[in-house]
Amino acid sequence: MTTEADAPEQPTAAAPIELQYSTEANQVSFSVSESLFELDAVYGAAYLFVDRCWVFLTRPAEGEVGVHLKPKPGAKDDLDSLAGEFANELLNQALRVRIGESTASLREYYMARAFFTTPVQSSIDALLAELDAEELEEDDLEISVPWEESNG
Amino acid sequence: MAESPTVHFDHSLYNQASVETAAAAYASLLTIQLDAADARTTVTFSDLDPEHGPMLVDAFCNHVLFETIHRHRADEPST
Repeated sequence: MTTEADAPEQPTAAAPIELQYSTEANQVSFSVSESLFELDAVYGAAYLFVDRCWVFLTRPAEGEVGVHLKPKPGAKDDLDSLAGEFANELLNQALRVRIGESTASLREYYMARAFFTTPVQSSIDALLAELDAEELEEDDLEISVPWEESNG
Repeated sequence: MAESPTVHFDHSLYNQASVETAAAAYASLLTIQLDAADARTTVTFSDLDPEHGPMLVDAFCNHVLFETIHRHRADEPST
């Protein structure tokens, strides 16, 4: 029997869903749960940000990745924007990873087929050779016979 | 007295060989001491230039991350 206390807590409609981050010493920091975003997704997002800002990853707890972003000197990025854009990219990368995993077998199939089936080129070559042979045999108009021979 | 900042690179996030590669790349710019343990590599920067030192340390960290991601992608099956 499930009591009300045992039931999973349902989010209330009024509860805002926000990215929790902190800004201090010209740096924005937030934590990403690996149960939501795989490390591949974190790497993917970080990779796109290394040219814009200084990125450092920490392990604040098991299953958590701490992301620390600091704008490079002269950059006009503000910390709030950096955090928001990183979070968006994180979602994008998570989707890319998931699509990559779900289509892996399909890609393997196409690669295997491309590399290990009989090449189509050989059959085209055979057809061309056959056509050449026919052309040599049949010359109704005697185009290949010199004029002197046919009229001489 | 010159500041000697220390940075910890957790091995579950950063590849240890990447830290060593970055240290070799920055050897002419920074005085770097590596201390590798099971869980993490501790990097100590000494004799930092007060003006450019902190930025070089940040750049070093970016370089380690970049190397780590490259190695991670090279190791995994193509996606």
